[in-house]
This record gives sequence, C-alpha cells and structure tokens, in this order.
Amino acid sequence: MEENTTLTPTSEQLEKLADWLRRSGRPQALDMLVRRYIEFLKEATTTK
Amino acid sequence: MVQQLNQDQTTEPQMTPEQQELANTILKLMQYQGRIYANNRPIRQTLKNLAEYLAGEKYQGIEDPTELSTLVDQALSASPKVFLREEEDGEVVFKTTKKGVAPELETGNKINPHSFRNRLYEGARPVAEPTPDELASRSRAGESHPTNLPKAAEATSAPTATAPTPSVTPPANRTPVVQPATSQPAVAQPPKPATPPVVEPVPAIAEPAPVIQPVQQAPVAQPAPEPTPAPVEVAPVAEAAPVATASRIIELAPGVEADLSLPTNQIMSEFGNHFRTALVKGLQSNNNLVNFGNEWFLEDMTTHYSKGDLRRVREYILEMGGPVTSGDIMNDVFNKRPQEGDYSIGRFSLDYRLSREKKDFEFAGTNDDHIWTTTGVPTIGTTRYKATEIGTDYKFLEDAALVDPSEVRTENGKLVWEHTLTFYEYENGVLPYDTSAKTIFPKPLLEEQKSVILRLEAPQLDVIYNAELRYPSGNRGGWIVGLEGFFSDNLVPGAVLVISQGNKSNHFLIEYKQGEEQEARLLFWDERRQRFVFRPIIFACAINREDALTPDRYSRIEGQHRLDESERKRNETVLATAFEYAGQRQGDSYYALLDDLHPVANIDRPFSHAYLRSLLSSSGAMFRQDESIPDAFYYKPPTSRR
Repeated sequence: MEENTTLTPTSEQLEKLADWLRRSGRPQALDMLVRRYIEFLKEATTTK
Repeated sequence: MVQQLNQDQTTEPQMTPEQQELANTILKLMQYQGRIYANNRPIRQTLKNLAEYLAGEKYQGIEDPTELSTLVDQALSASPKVFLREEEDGEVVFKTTKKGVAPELETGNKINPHSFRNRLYEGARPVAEPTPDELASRSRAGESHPTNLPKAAEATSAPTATAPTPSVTPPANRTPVVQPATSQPAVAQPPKPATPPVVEPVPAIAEPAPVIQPVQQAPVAQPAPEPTPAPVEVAPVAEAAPVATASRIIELAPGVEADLSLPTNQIMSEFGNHFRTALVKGLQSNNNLVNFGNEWFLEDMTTHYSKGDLRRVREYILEMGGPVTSGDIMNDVFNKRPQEGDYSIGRFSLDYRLSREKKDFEFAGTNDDHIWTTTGVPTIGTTRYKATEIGTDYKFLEDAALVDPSEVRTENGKLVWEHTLTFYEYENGVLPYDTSAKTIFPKPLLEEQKSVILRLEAPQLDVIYNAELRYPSGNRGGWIVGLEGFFSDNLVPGAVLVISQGNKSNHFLIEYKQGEEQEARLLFWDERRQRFVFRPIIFACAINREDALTPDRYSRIEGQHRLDESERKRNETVLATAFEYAGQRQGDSYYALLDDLHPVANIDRPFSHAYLRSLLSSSGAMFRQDESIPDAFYYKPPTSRR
C-alpha cells in the first residue's frame, strides 16, 4: 500500500544498497532492502 | 574458557545489535549441536539449514527463509573470528567450535581435532602449598621435598606426580551439559550431511532438542557452567542502547515521524509502508536496479535469455496446454534445479525477462506462485456468454454502493467465504469478484496484470480445479471463471459454497455444504426445447430454500423462453420479467419482495441485493417501493405489456 512520504533516499544510500545487493549475490525482497535502508539511516544518525 | 577468549578479541564495529543477537543465537545453537565434540573440532552448519530453522521458529517474526538467509549470512560473516565462512559445492557453510572460535584461528590454520591431552589437565588446580608447620613436620619425619611444589599442572603439560588429583574438575564432556529434552520442539531441519568432513552434525541436530537450552550448558573449558557464553564479536549489546545522539527522529511525511532508536522490526511494523514507498521511488531511479514484483536485483547480474530461449519457453507453455510456473520452466526447459547455486538468479531473470515480453507472455500468478501463460493457450472455463459480456454484466461490482456486504468470516485464522450459488453463476461456472471475493482472493502483483490463476482444491472430490480470476478493467467488472464442472457435477442453484484460504495466496479449498440426499423439482434450461423447465433431480448438497427456484414459488416461468441478448441488457426488461414470474398480481400491478425477485432476476444476469434495491428505487414510473414494508416493491407494466 503506497503512502505519501517526504522521505527520499540519497544517492549514496542507494549506492550502498546496490553494493549490498551485489555482495549478497542474489535477488532480494523489497522488505530486506527496506530493512537495510533503515539500518543505514540508523548508522547515519548514530555517527552524526 | 570461552568468555575469556572472546574478551581478548576486538568486536567488529559494523555489527548492529540485531546482528549480534542473531549471531549469538546461532552460536548457542551450534555449540549445542557440538556439545559432545572435542574443543577444536569444527561444528558445521549450512546457511540454508540455519535460515530454514530460524524461519520455522519465526525468528523476530520472520518466516521467510530467504530473508533470514541474508540476515544470517551478514551477521555471521561479520564475526569472522567466531564463524568461518566457506562455500562447499556452491552452498554456504559456517563453522565454529565449541569454544566459540572459528576453526582456522585455533591452531594457525591447522585444525587439530585431538584435544584430550589438553582437556585432561584443563582446570587442574595446584595442590595446596604446604604451610611452614607442615614443612617443619615433614622435615622432622625425614621427608625430602622441594621448597616449592610445582605450579598447577598446565593444560599442555605431561602428567607428573602432581598431576590431576580428585580435586581436579573432570572434563566437562563427561557431564551431560544438557539433558536432551524430548518434549522440546524439534529443530526444524536436520542437516543432511552432504559431504563427509569431520563435522557431520546429524546426531546432534536430528534429535528433538531445544535451541535455547544450550544457554544452560557448560562449555568444556570451564569448570563452572557459564550460562551464556558470548561469541567473539557478538557481545550482548542487545541490552546496550545505541550511542546516544541528539536526535534519531526522522520525518516520513507531514505529521509522521519515526524514531530510529526503536528496533527495526518495530519501525517496519509501524512505518513500513512509508519506507517502502520512499525506497521504491529511489530504486526505480537507479537504472541498474530492476525488479519483478517485490524482488529486486542488479540488471548487470541477471542471467541473459536469448530470443531462442524465449521461443522454447513459449513452445513449452503451448505444449503444456495451460499456464505454467517459472519453476516449471526452469526445470523442464532449462534443466535447472532449486538446489543449484545460481537458481534464484536464473529464476528472477526469467520472470523479469518474460515480464518485458508483453506481446508474447502474460503473468497470471502471485508473489508466491509465479505463473505464466501465452497467446494460443486454451481459455479457462466454458460460459454461455462471452467474456466481454460477463465483464459487462459484472460492471456494477465496481460501484461500492451496489455490492452486498462481505460474506467472509475468519475461522482458525483463515478467511472463509460462504456464498449461495445463483442460477447465472451455476450455468456459467462463475463467481462474482465482489466485496467478499476481493477480501479473500489475491490482488494483482504486477500493475498491468489482467488475471490470476486460482488453484481450487475440492477435498470432497479429491480434485483440483484451475480457475481464473479476471480482474476488473475499464468499464468491466471482475469475475472468477472455470467452475462449471464443479457446479454441474455436484451442485444445484441455491447450493451453499464454502471457499477457504489454503497454503498459498492463490490456493483455496472449495467445498459445498452437505445435506441429506433429497429429490426436488428445480428449474433448468432445456437446451433442446429452448425453454425453461422444472425437472426432478436428486442432490446431496444443502440449499438455501429462499434462493431455490422451485415450482411452488415460480411456476409461471415453466415453458418460457430466455430473454434475447438485447432484452437481457436492459435493466427494466429484466426486472419486469422477474416481477411477472415472482410477483403477486394486484390490479394492474405486480407486487413482490426483494428476496423473491433476487433468485429469478439472477437467471439471465447477475444482481446483488443492493443493486436490485437501487434499480427498483430509482427506475421512475414503473417500479416503486412499498413505503410500509421494507424491501417490498410494486411494478406497473406499461400498457403494451399488460
């Protein structure tokens, strides 16, 4: 179900996701990518 | 001593609390598996087994082994000092030891499975040094003795006179560290020892044993049981809060904020749709990222399929005579099996490629059943009317005001749809894609998807029917087709169908309510005489009397023709005919209840109660409501019809 959102992944985050996907070596479900994205956001706020 | 070893080694900085917790859980599981192993003997588990086991245990609420496989791989790969990651015959395998250290690191790349000598003296305590008085008394007794007894027997030292005494703690492996509890839930997947290395885990995991119980066991190296030996880089940081920052709140939408300090599962549960929407937009903007349904991958890593491959796929589907799954195609056309390493990439690539060949291939599946068809495949179902006509007949279903309330309930956690069959549905082998059907049947996976194959298993007959759900489009409603055989062989109009969810999103059980075997005269269409007739029939299904077309209620229909195609399309004509068959004559008008009109109106076209009510209440001069009785109506025929 689509939601209206103002959140926009940065190109750096998308590149990181692509790298992770490449390293995983197999297709991934969207929810797995979303979880990785949330982890990136957490890391970003932790290291600020 | 597991903990002492672990404390000496650094923790990987990138590990998240969730990864640490997962790695810790798996370490305990594997340590339990190898509880009777020597200290240094590698304990081996495949990634697949671990993921499937955790999926069975619904780890963190996740039931998908594929999802867990990635999480496990990441968590364990981030702990190289605890888990050794290897690939054997294309399968990822993780190894550790009972001490919680990766095997290769134990003895400098040389795995020495023999550790009895070490274990014999591990934990040995020195004999207590004699006190000066004792020394003095021995001296008086004439003994000669060294002033200092040897230090405690080192673990690797040879036996000496001061070697193990009864005070030495026996090797822990003599002690059953955990009593196998047969009442505990079984490990989901006994590992199948595909290769014969030293690490065959069959005896351990094959036992019905708890996973978490290993928390109680004592690692061999320790004299006292350690309740929770932590792996090297998997400190119990689950309890530790992440580094506090000024703000971990992010805005997802105006007025919607997410707290990133919450566990990921909770964030997903509360705000998952926001993140999904945001991420999909981002992923779609990256040219190298492609998707099929909910799966994403890198285009430059997909398998290439040639025009020739696609031609073979199309020929295969035609040869099979009906829709097939991409798994069938991988197996029969490309000779690929699920256990092969590149299978998931090949299958994703196939689905992705077929989805781009819209001229030749059509997707008719769901997220968990990827079904493909092609032009030239026989259509499912045989109906009296053409597909476009049925779609038009069901157009009213797209108006929420004209559909009846849902007939779906929940039973034992599964959705169940109970529906009384109308004459129209019985004759055409169809069901409406109404509120109830929209609740229970799967939504389209792809944006442009026109239909989905439903597997309807009839346990009362031991038969599986492949029906097709045609989604609404344009000005046509949706309907399910392909059930004429099930209906005509077992049911009559007025019978009660029960459809319940099965194991997949497009798999259902279809049953009918059974009743006492009975004989009754019911309405049929005589194809030879081109007339409606009442015929005796014996049936064993329960029927709703108020929906049955019996001669005591509808005797006037006997011997009548059907409405022709142009009459059938006109609402007023269909309703007027229904009044003439079902209503009571009152002067120059007919009078009937909605419940009496509904079965007979549903002979030539489908009508819900709400649709009928709406038409009868708003059709001008011919039809009017009885203000004193709900759902009762008058019909005054035009002069030409009286």
